[in-house]
Amino acid sequence: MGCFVFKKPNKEKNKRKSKSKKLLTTNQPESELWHTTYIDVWNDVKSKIDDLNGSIYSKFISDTVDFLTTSNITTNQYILTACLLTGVNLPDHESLFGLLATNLEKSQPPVIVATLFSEHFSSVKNAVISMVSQLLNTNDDQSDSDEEMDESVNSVVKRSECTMSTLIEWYSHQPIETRVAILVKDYEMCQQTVLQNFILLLSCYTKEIPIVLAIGIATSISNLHNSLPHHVVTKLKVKMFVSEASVVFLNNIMDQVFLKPDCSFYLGGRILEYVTEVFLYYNFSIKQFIESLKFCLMEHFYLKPLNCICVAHESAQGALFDTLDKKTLEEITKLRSTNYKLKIDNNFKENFLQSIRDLKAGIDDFHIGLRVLHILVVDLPHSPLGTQLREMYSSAMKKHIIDNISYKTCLQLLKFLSKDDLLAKFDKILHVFKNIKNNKRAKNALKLVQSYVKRLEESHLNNLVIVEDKPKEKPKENLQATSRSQFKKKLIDNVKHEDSRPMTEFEKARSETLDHLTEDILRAFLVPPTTMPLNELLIFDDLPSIKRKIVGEDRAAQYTAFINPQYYINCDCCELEFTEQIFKTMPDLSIVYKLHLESRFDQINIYDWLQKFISIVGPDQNDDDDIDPELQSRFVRAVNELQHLGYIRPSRYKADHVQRLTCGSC
Amino acid sequence: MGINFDVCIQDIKKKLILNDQLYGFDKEQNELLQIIKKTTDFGESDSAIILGPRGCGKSMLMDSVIKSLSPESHTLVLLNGLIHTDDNLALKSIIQQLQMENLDGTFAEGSYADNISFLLESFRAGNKTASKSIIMVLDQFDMFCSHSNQTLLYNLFDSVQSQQNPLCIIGLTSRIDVIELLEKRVKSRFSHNIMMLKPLSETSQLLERFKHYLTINKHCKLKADVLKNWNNNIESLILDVRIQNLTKDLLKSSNNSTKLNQLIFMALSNLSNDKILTVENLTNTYSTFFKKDMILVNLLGLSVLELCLVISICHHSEIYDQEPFNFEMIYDRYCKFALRNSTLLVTKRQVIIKAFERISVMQLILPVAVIENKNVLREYRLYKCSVNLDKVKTACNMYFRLPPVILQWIDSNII
Amino acid sequence: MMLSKLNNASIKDTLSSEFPFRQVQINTLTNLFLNEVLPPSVFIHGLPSTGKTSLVTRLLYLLRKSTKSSIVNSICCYTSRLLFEPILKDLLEIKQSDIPNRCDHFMQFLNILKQAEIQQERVIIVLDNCEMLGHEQIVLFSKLQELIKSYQFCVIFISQVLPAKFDEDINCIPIVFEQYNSDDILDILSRDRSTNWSESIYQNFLNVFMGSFYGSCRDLVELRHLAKLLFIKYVEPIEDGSCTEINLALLFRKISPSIHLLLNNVYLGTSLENVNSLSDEKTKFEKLALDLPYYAKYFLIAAYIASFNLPKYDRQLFVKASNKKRKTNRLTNKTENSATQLVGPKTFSLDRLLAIFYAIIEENTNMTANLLAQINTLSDLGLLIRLGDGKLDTPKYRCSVSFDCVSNIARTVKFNLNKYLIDK
Repeated sequence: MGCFVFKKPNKEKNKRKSKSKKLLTTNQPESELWHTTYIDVWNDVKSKIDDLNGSIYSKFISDTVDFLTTSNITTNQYILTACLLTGVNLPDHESLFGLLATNLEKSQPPVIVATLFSEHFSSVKNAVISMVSQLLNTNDDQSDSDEEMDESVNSVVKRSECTMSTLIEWYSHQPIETRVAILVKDYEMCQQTVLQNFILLLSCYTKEIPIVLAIGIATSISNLHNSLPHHVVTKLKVKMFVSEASVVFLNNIMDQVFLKPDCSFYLGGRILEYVTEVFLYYNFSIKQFIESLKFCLMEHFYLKPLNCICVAHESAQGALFDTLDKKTLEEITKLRSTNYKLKIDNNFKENFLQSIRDLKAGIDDFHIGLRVLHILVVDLPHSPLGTQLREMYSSAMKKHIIDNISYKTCLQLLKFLSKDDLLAKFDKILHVFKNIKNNKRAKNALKLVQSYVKRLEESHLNNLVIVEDKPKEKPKENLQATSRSQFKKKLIDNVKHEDSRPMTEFEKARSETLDHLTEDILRAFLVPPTTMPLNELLIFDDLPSIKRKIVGEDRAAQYTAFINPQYYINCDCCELEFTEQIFKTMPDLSIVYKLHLESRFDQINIYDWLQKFISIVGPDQNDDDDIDPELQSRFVRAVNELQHLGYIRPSRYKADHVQRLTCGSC
Repeated sequence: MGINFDVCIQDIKKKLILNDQLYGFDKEQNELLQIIKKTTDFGESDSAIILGPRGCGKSMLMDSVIKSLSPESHTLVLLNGLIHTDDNLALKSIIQQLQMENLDGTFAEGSYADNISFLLESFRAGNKTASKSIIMVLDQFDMFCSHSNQTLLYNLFDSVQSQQNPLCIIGLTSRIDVIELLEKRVKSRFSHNIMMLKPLSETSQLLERFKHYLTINKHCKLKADVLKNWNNNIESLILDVRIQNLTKDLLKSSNNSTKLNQLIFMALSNLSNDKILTVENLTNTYSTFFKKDMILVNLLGLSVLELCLVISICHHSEIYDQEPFNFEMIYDRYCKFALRNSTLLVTKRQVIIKAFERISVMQLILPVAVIENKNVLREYRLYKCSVNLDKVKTACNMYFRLPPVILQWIDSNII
Repeated sequence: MMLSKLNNASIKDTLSSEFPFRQVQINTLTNLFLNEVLPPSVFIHGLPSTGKTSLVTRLLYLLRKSTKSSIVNSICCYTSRLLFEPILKDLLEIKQSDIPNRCDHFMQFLNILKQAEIQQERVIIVLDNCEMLGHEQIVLFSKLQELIKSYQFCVIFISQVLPAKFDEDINCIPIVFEQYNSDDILDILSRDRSTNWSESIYQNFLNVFMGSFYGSCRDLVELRHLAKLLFIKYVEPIEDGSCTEINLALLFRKISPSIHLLLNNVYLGTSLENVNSLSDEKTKFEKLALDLPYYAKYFLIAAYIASFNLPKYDRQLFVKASNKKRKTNRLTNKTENSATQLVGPKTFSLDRLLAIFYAIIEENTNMTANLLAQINTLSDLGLLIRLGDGKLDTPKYRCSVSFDCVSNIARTVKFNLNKYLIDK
């Protein structure tokens, strides 16, 4: 049974794979459940992301395609060149160029596309050959346009025949007005001289073939202009296309896919913060971001039938629940969020399913509240709660956001809004509530908001409100304070109160409606789902378990493998009591590593090392000087592996010594 | 009459191109003939090298000797080091020229080992008396020495030694150290017949050729008076002191007659309608085509900005004793100058680096490392200068409307 | 005589009208090529865009009835086969597929030409950008006439490089295409005038234009382009009626910002679409240039510090206990452009980069695979240069970005770069 449909080049993944396979054989029915659930959820998410990707890129791509296909190239003095400023998120470029290529191929007049990567620019000859072979062969068999590498292998045209003159001959058989587009994916990585000569070469053939060029530049356009000398620049006619910054993509994907109630996979605040941090601090790569979320998803469902039941359709939940064994049921009662209120009794199933429903409703409400909040605070100066939905989400998930200090600042700022602005915001909020079906609380909230709006609309901007005198008296008596700081604070408060002008009718309405909104609607809606019972089953917030898997720490992993091999191989024989312990049963490499740590010097004598090694692995009662060749060869192999891993190297100064390249015990 | 006259002019041009008249070298001609005759007449194999500077008449000498032999007496094989760049090509060509490929099907297509064993086999099959002798001329002989292991040379010289099929190998080269290039085993098999040809050194020799080229032969279908007129004119040209100075000049720049041939060719091409070659014709052609200082022309074609960069470069080279430089250094120097003089526009760095690159494309400056190193940034790539300051000064003085500050700057490299 | 005098004269006239200020070169070329006997080889030399290739191409086109010709741009000949086969194709008027065998060597090329009895015909081969060819090939082609044994065979070399570079070995007739002087350029540019505008406006414009641009650029192609771009801008005030044609001073005032902008982009002219595209998008790009992940920014800063400081100062700078006084003392010594700036960045090892990185970054980060991948990403982006033939054990790097760029980046992460730079 193929349990992993999606291939992912991840070291940890492979490790898991072998592990999971072993376990799968024992629990087959469950594994099917979690796996199918995972696939369903992932496919759902994936299709949404794909749609979104298409729509975000669409303007950028269609602009580029328009330019490349419709611009006039009759002058044939220059090569029409689109410079695609794609940002530094290199891993995402491949999909971008793939999209561009497919779009170009669909366009009218027909365009035939060849995509060149930096590795093709090892020489002009190579570049031309790979370009021509791509062009000629896509046309011959459109059915299998999978990968260029495959095509060049079973190409119809021999590599030695892939020259410009064959291309010209081929072009004469193409439909009229066909254009040839050459996409150069990563400009910075190409060898500059080769690329320059390649451009000069192409420019010689513009009379025969209408060639257009698209160059992907990751850094900045000045890079292109600076690095091409004049006689090359004169051959190009450049137009720049700037793709959206990858942060925009991130926000869109979060807002449109993951932070929506209809997504059946809910992320906890910490996880979300972590993956966005990886994105912003490390690589800007959407692809890796999605992959890590995918991993979270897998982790969330893997061998956790309860989690799967929660996601399943309500009608199926009952039946699935019945398949659970007793141990799993006990697990439920042990969940911390249930506060031990769930007991295994006759109503257990009903109670469980009911709390799941409640949780889901709570999450739905939370999302509504979040959107309302987002509308309110998104454009405030200095954006105390951030501008992005994801930022608010992660803080609201952790703690009730209304109690957050930043929210209070927001509220203060909101109370300075003009009538039009405020009404506009309320209008949007109304829109949010109106779009929600089958939700009682939302309906009530809608009514409330409508009343706020009415009140605001009716309030006059200039009519003063008569303020009662009572509050004025109050602060004065408080002046005797215990400490200096308190005294100061109170003074300031007093000043504020005395300073406050009499409020206008609108101002009063504004302040009151906002307070009402906060207390009556947001407080109810923004209850963090993480405080609800059974939230662990729906919301994935297990950061420690995936942290290392998303961002690999290879040195640390190696270290663990050497010091404590049991961690990975799960054997019974090597259980450590303290880290320096060495067992005979450990892998040779691990023993050799541990021995080399014991050396106090930079230079290690190989013979001594070997002796120590033999004293550990060798037979116990060995007193003759002869060294068992088998043990010696094992030792040599282990030392070589250590050298290969970069921990040691042969010493330059002493014979039969190696030099340690790491220091201390790492 | 015009047409006939044109035909005559064309004939002269053909003569110039063909350039097959041997001058002098009678002694060498005889000597070479003796060597070859020994092979063709008596079946004695031999080898020789003709040494002489470019254009002194090595091939001409060879041709004239070959021409004096009867074509039936030998088979001629001509090889050129420039064309036959490796042993395999040379071997194929030998087989083709000996017309042996027809003997046994597809031999020319065979592998190198097949070919060479086939050839040696054939040589061995021949004998001194019965076989037709082979004369093999290796032009650019020095280039054959660079072939791997000198296998071909070794085998050829070896066949000469072993007295099989009569074979005479003549190498033509302009490298004086050619013997040193030979491997020991090859050298020992070579006969050490070396013939040195001296280049022409007297103006009189050059003038003689001049006359020879230009005199129209009496067989031409030309009216007697036109013919006479032309030939008389040529006689008087030779006596003209300006022409004599010109030939002296030519002789200084190169000691062969190719330049002269070109000069006459151009002069004839530019011949005006009055059908008389004048002194002015020749001197004008000479000054426009051969006297022109190309570097100066290039410098005059630069923009002011580019010229300023060249000046900076020259200053730098002068101060640092021809040390290589990079763009940053030149830019720095240029900026210091430009900032002092508000009259000049201070241009952006990106423009200046483009201008710098243009200079390098024109090869007024040459990169120090020929292979472009990817690891070195453009700004820091090292260059050497190929123009000198005096030339730049001359160019500046001739430059059309050059700002006077630049003229002052060029004389003071202290900044 | 194959060519009638009349025909020759007309060819000369056509060329003279199409190529102004090239009279001398046209005369020489026509004198040489409108004759029965062709010279063995001609070397045409001149600076970029002086009309070398176009003039020769046109001449051969006019001669196409009597002369077979092949024009090859040497940049396309990355193997010798791609040099020979196109020539054969043109000269023998055959298709690629009809060339009997692969033609990889000059010997084969020569044989095919001889077999085709090329001696019977007038042939001119043009090798454009001949400096791209190997030296041997140039020598061979210059001797081709002698090897073919034909009076009607000529090879034309075209190059920007001085013929002196090849002079030792080849005997060519040199023809120089001189650079146009300012009057010539003015004249040529004035021919570009579109009919919508009067001559006086255009002439005024050209005077302004030449005054600003001639100093930094004499390349005709470039100037024509710049003039085209600028003229659109120049007549804008006239078109929208805000300025009259005669108010030259106002027109100049209005155009000068555009001139200034364009002056900073001379030599990019042909690749630009219009003046506006330059000004709008410039700022946008600069912003994008700084769009690096957080840690990558710090890596780049660390790399810059490592490249321009000597390792011996690291201790002073990064050991926390060191006194700040010495640092400030040093700063005063800093000169604008010191020697290190001129020689360029020095190499540094990965260890040093990491050490500086951890010294300048405030928060504590684990050395994860992602973090190390940043360094490779930076070198893929060309911001760092990886040295040392790809050996795994001791990679070396060099920073390849300018000070301005790094200081911009430092500003976005609020890092005081100058504090850490010891110049000298």
